[in-house]
Amino acid sequence: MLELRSLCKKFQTSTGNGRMALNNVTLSLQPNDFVTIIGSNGAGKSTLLNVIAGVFPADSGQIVIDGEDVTSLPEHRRASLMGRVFQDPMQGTAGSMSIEENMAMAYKRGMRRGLSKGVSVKHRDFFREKLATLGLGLEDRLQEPVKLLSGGQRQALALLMATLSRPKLLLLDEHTAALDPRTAQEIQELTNEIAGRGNLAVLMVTHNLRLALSVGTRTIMMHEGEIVLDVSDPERSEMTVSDLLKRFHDARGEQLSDDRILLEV
Amino acid sequence: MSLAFGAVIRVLEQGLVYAVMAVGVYLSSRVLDFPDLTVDGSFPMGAAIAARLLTVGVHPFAGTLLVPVAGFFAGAATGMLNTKLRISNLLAGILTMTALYSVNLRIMGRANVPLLRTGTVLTVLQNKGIPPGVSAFLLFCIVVAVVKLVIDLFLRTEFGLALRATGDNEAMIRSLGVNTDSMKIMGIGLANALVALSGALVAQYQGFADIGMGIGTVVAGLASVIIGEAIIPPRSVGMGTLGAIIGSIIYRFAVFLALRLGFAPTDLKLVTAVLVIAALSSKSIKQRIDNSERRKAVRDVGTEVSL
Ligand SMILES: Nc1ncnc2c1ncn2[C@@H]1O[C@H](COP(=O)(O)OP(=O)(O)OP(=O)(O)O)[C@@H](O)[C@H]1O
Ligand SMILES: [Mg+2]
Repeated sequence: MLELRSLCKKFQTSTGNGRMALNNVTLSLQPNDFVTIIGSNGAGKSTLLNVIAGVFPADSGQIVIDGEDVTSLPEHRRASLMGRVFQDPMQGTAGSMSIEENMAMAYKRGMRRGLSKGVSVKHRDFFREKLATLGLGLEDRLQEPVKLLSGGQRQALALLMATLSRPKLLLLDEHTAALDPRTAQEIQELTNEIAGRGNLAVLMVTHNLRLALSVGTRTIMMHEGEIVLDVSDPERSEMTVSDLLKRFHDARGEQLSDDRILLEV
Repeated sequence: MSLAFGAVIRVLEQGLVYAVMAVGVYLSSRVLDFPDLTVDGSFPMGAAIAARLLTVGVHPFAGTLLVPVAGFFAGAATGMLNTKLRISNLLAGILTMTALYSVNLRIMGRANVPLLRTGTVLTVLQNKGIPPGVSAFLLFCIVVAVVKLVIDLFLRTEFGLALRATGDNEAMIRSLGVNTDSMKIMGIGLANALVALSGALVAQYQGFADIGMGIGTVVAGLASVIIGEAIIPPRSVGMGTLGAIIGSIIYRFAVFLALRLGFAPTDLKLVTAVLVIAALSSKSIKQRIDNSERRKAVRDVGTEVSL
């Protein structure tokens, strides 16, 4: 489904040498893999997702999604293959535009946009039906601008929009981190449910180690631009957070303290 | 009485003919969030092209309808400088505007082209039996209505949604597969098509095209948009364009009053600039007051602002 081969990405720093944000990252995902990604601040997690999405190009390496080599495609030409949700709820929606207009734009992900009506009656029924599954009452507020929604509502909408056109890949970058615990849990449950519908590979970045082990099918840990740990079920389902930290220690010969990885349990 | 009524109609005519330009400025500044200074060059370009075409005998309506095409390319040039060559939006507009000054002189052949003896869209209407007193008012009403209708509909198409999202949240709409560079080029092009059309109509209305007639167009357009927003909160696309139109009319009334109060016509640019500064600063001052009130409220309750 997703093949990353020897991806490298270096950022220029003011001190001259530059910093390897991605160092030879190789990863292979099956169509229904739900991978949680953990790692300390600056480990390269966001950079990995950005390179996959094409926000900036990798320095070297290859990215193949669903059999298609997208390494040199600009971001907007990869859009049909993947949906994304970010940490900031503002980032995934257009605040000045209405709920239905946002949905309509997501519905047309990666398609040609012509001069036909942006939101047709037929779409409206479909959007209403989809919004109703969130259970937030948004289906009755189709024409309201998104900026009037709460952060949690906005993030739920962003998640719905990311998967509306049924892409094969979903990239989540700490998408519950800016929400209060209850809302975060609701968005996480929604995420699990969407992933559970199948035919979707998920990459989810989180700082919550317990969550990383409890959801999904596979967990990878990044450190200084490298993947230092990669465990899948069933082995993973037996693991505890302290096992995880110990495995990191064994792999790197370094102690990884809880605070370095910003443990949120 | 009838004299005052006549004056009101004249001001309304001006408000309407410049409203086409204001809708263009609304498109770039509000919908695309792109401060576009091309306008000061594309407005006289519209006038120059119309003057040239009309003096060589092109039918006034055909000539006038060709103008927006040229305006589109002027705006698209700015869009390309910004997106392809990564020149900042302000500088890109200034560059195009400066280049257009020479282009406009080339088109006109001299600094001022009178249109009093050539046919214009207005004389065409008058020859059809429409009284001279109402022909301009009638024509400009129709033009503004058509422009508003078309732009409103356009901004609700699939393409229009993507254009608006480019101004609202560029990263998001790009992640949905839209080439935001093309959107900006098309959007700034469209805005300047309207601006040039307005310039062509103004030239025919006032009876001449002049190389200097573009100075201050952006600021007048922004003034109209800002006045419009103050009166009609732009809750929807239709309210936004309506605001620009109403704002343009009010702005022309303000100019009319300023002249009546004894300001020289040459002082008007200063008056307009002060007006725009006042409107903009009132917004930021209001924000500052809101913020300090919020901070005070938080302090009073004794809680921190939660993340
Ligand atoms: N656009 C950029 N320009 C320069 N350096 C960058 C850029 N983006 C990331 N970096 C650097 O690359 C490294 C990896 O950053 P990245 O954002 O991928 O970390 P992360 O694992 O997502 O961290 P966090 O958990 O804090 O979000 C960091 O050292 C960061 O400073
Ligand atoms: Mg990050």
